[in-house]
Amino acid sequence: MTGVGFIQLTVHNTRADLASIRFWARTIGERNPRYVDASYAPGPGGRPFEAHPCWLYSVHDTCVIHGHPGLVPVLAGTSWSFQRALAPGETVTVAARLLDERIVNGRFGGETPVQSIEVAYLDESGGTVAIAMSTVFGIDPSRSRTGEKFAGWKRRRYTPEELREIERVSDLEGTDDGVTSAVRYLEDVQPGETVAPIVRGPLTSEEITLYLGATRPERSVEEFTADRLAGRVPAFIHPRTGVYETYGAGLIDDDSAQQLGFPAAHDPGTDRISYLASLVTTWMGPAGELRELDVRLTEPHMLGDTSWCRAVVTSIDPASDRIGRVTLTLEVRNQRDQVTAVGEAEVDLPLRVLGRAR
Amino acid sequence: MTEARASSRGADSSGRQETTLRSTIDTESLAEARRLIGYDYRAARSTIEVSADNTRDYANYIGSNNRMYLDPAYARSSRWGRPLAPPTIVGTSIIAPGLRGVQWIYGGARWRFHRLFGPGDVLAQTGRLVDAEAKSGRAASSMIMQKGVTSCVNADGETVVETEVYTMRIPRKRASSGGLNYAKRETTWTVGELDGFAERLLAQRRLGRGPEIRYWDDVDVGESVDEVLCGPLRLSDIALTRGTVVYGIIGGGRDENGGYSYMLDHYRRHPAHSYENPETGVTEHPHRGHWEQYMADEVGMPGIYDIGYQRLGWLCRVITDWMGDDGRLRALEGWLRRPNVVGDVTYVSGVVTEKRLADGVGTVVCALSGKNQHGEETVRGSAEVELLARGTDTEQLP
Repeated sequence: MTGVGFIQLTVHNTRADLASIRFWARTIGERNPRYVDASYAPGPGGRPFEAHPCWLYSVHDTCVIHGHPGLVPVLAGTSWSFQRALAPGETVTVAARLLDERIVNGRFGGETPVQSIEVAYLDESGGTVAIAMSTVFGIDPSRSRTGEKFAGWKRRRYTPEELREIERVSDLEGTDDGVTSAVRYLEDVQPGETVAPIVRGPLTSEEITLYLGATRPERSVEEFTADRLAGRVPAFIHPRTGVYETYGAGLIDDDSAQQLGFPAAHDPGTDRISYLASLVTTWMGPAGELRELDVRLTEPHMLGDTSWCRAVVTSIDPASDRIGRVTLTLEVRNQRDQVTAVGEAEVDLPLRVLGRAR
Repeated sequence: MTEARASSRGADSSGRQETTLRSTIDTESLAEARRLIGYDYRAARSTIEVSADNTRDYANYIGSNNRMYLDPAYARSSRWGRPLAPPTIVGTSIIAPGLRGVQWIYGGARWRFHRLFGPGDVLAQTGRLVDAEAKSGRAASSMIMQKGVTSCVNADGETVVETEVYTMRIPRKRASSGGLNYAKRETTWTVGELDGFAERLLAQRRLGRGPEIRYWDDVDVGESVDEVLCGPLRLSDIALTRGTVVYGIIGGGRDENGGYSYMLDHYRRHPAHSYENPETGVTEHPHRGHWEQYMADEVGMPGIYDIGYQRLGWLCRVITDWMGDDGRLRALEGWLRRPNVVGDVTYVSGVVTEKRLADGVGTVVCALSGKNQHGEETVRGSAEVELLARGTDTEQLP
């Protein structure tokens, strides 16, 4: 059992540069000009160009396992609380804590520590921009690689019809009645209303390399070697290349993924959580603000899988005379119609007639 | 409502994509390769925000722990009064239009560094194709070398970096003729050998000269530049960093770089930049040979191969470590001679070949070379470095 308390993290991005904001958002397929177009001029009441809420994953992706240097961290979900959006040029630091550790006894992985890691993203003056609370499993490669959790998994070939449908929905994103330009008011939202789905897929190694490049690129072989020899990071000798590799290579390479018990290269998970954020931010329009995002990853996505992202409005709370809060349930299904992520989001929307809803 | 983008993926893709894998070089290819000579090349146009973050990322990419790049406070107390970026961070956009389905293989680059730059600078990069010529070599019987030039200009309109970029266009393995013909090879190391590499990698972190001035007067022609071990090359050195450098930094200002629908748009505009993944039926990009065996085989490489930028960056790292904080890299060129595949090690070294002094500025030219574990030269280059001459009043220098 590792003691709870503050932990040191090495961050990636420290500043929300224009290029960094745009590039990161584009790697997750984001089309909303609010996050990808520095010249974006919103209409009245709209938010200006700013960092996608989950851009903060590129500061630190929260996927760490503290106090178990031989274990590989695997993200099981993140609960985000967003205080405010980050404007171009702002600098960010983090303060992180291990909140809790419990041991679960898995059928395939045996005793596995599960940690709750809290990462607070702070602006230059120490103010909180957002807080992420992630659940991270510490996977023991020696046990997981011989487990058979994914026995029978097989990469599947798409039919032309399936690919065309992905293209069709992909092409519709951001074009549906101008959802990215028209303000969505609280009065116009009804419980039970479904959100226009978005699709991200099929996941290819291209997307993974782009996303990781924008989020947390691998360190040099010198730094990796120093950490490996000091026992700070787990590593393995790659069966084909014959050299020490990071388990991170399992995000693009099947052989590496199999060293950790995955059947094939798989997504890091933070990308899928970010897709759900995009689903909501596209729907909420230019004046909406994403306040809470809580996503649990239930299955990994392997290369070749597709994320169908859907949401339903579950409740509406006119919180004040000016804004109201909408709660949505979220899910991701893959092309096999398996639910691979579930969650909930809370969004602030403006009132069309101030004070009316109350 | 905007009209939906026209569909292409999954419709009639397999025949087209099969054809692009087999595209060859014929009698009309050279004319096609030269067709866009002189035009402003859209894909090279980019706004590059040099930041502390991407400077650190690039330094990491080339294995540099030089404090001039990584420690702003330290760099501000140096002769230059500001943090710098590794000079090769910009300028290397591939400029190789035309020749649908013929593979791009990065050939090399020649940089001229006119001004210092670093975090905080915003550089506008433009590029154009200037030449193309037919070649043949030991690795492929027919190829075309396309030469492009890029120019990076700062916010004051001053030219900071100019680069010549060379790209070989070589048919893929399944083309009817002229494809790359490397024999496949795999590297195996003993644990003892891997331990030896590790020991050396840690020891050479101290090779950087840092603030100790390397005076021009103290350098002799024939003197060696410290050899540096680069590698063993990991998959993660390629695939888990390429997004940062190739798209995030070099292509950071371009609108088309992105995943999913951005890639789809790219394939629609450039159908020859795609092929069908035989396992999934999904359209993918042939540059996956940099991290996937299937496509490396299709390209005709001996294994999963590196991204050429990185090897040229190693030359930059070696020479800037050697020259010290007060040296200034004025020019660098590097030519990729043979593939560097996953598992390979590269020993980069150099030798001083020339020195001259003019107006108090000492210049040294170094030949650089990288050899793999088989003694094969995989990269060759040279660097021109300005060093302080003893007794020079640095206040009087330009």
